[in-house]
Amino acid sequence: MRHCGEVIKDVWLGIAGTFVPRARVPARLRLKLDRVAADRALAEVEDASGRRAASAVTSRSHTCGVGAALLAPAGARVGVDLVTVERVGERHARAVLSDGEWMALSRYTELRPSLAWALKEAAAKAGGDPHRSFPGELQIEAGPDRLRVRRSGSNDGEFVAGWGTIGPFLYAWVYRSALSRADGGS
Amino acid sequence: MPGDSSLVNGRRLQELVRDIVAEVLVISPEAVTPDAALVRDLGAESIDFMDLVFRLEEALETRIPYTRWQRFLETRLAGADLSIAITPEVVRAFAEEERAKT
Repeated sequence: MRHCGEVIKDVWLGIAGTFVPRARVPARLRLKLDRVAADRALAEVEDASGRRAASAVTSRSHTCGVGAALLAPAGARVGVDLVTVERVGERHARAVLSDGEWMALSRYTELRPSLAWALKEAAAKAGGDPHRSFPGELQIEAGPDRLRVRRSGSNDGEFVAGWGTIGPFLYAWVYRSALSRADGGS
Repeated sequence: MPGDSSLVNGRRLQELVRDIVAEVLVISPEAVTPDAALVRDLGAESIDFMDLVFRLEEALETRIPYTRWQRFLETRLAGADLSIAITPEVVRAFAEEERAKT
């Protein structure tokens, strides 16, 4: 599985690896396998973009033998998440989304839970550590043309967001440029 | 043993947690040693922790908002590398704390 491209100007997304159902991989090898895939995804976006991770900002995600990497210019805030669509149920998504966020994604029907979860994870990565918290102030919004993540009650710049599917996976990303951070006074 | 405060429906809490972790991570219960790192050693992902909380809710027959698990980590494992620090023993301690609230 391989996918690499510029999702918006100067922001590159790569996906690499081979889907392996989790039950087929010994537990102690899962993280290693996934990290190798994420490393490959990052190497591919480096090659495609002509930028090096060391002089950019990156976010990575991995599951079931496949990795995703997002790369953007230094100073930006980014987050990416990769899930298998079947892994995420409504109960998972509703546990971390507000009612308003859940409603905002109503048009996405079958993909709604996995999209909601992946967006929230990506936003949490951009704002910190999703293991520790899903920042309640980062609210997912669905505009007519694009998904956004906005920090409620703040003039802080908003994140733009996007998503897609590849094989059994759904990926979501969020991005805010260094410029919009400066404009937002963060 | 009768009267053992760590029993849940006749099962020891440690065994209950072991079986829940094994079920959620699709691994054998024997692989779930008390000090195994759930992320590094057993391949747990973020969503797995939510499933752990859901299963604990059902086993303990009490409502456990996911934010309580996150707060527990923040208190108990502040500053730690969570890929190493979350073990079945940590999950058991969380379950014990939640059960005490019921």
